[in-house]
Amino acid sequence: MISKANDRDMGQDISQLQDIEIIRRVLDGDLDAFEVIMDRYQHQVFRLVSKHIPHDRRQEVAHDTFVQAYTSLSTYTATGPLAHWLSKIAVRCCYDYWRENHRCLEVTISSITEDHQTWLDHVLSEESSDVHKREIAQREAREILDWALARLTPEERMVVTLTHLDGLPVKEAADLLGWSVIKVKVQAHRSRQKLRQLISKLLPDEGKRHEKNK
Amino acid sequence: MKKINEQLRKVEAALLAAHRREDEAQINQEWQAEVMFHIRRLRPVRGVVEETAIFDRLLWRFAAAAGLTAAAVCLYFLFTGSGLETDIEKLKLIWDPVGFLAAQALIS
Repeated sequence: MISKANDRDMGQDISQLQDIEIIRRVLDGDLDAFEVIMDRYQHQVFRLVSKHIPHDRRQEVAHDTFVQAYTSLSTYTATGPLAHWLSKIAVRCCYDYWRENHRCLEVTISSITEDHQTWLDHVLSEESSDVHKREIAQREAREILDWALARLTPEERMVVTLTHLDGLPVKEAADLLGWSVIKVKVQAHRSRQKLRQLISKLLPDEGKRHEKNK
Repeated sequence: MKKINEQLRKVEAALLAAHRREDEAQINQEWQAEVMFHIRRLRPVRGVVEETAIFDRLLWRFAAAAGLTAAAVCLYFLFTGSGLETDIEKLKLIWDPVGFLAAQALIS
């Protein structure tokens, strides 16, 4: 009973500590302290991962992120916030995920259905609708985006998501990916062009033009 | 072509809005327990947090600039003369009009 009360008190104390103190405790062998880090940053990691990874694989990638953070904890140098350090690990885990699964998760061209085409027509005609319709539209928009992103290489996908879709500055994207600023600039430009070309193929007018050319 | 560009802009804006809409992160306790279970099975990680790393990084960041400045100052004095003798002469005239010994001792 006393031990449980002590544990609870200790837990409360730990949760009040700064990140650096908690990391020290983990490195001294107190594994429970790592749970405090997870409590603090799991939402941030999930938010980041959910921008890059399909819904059903997010937990897996977030899991890998924390395991990798734990195994590399001794390399944390306190030069920046822990949140940023974890974000770097999360982005690299997402990149690794796409490098491993790029081929097997490619969505076929036939996955663009009539519903998606209706969504495109709806966007182009600028109709406003009720919440329910907007929810469906949201899902279809995501699916179209996933369809287009699946046609990019893992490198292109990561860089276009960070710079164009998430709107991060080039320098920050380079830092998260561990690439040079120049490489990110070049890749971001190319990837965006490629994404635009893919989306333009879905447009009704562009589709007709393609058919005519054939 | 202009029409297609306009359409593309609209679709891109809609896709961007869909991407930026926050998804609610559904995290359950089981997931956290699984991660901790995995971590507990790993070899314990040992080490120390290097808090001086930030100073090291700053030191090296300014090292090149400091080196270049020192080299430039040396070159400047090499080609223009340091002016040490003139300064000593000035001191001598202002503060020590008759005592040359101190100045001579410094020069030699």
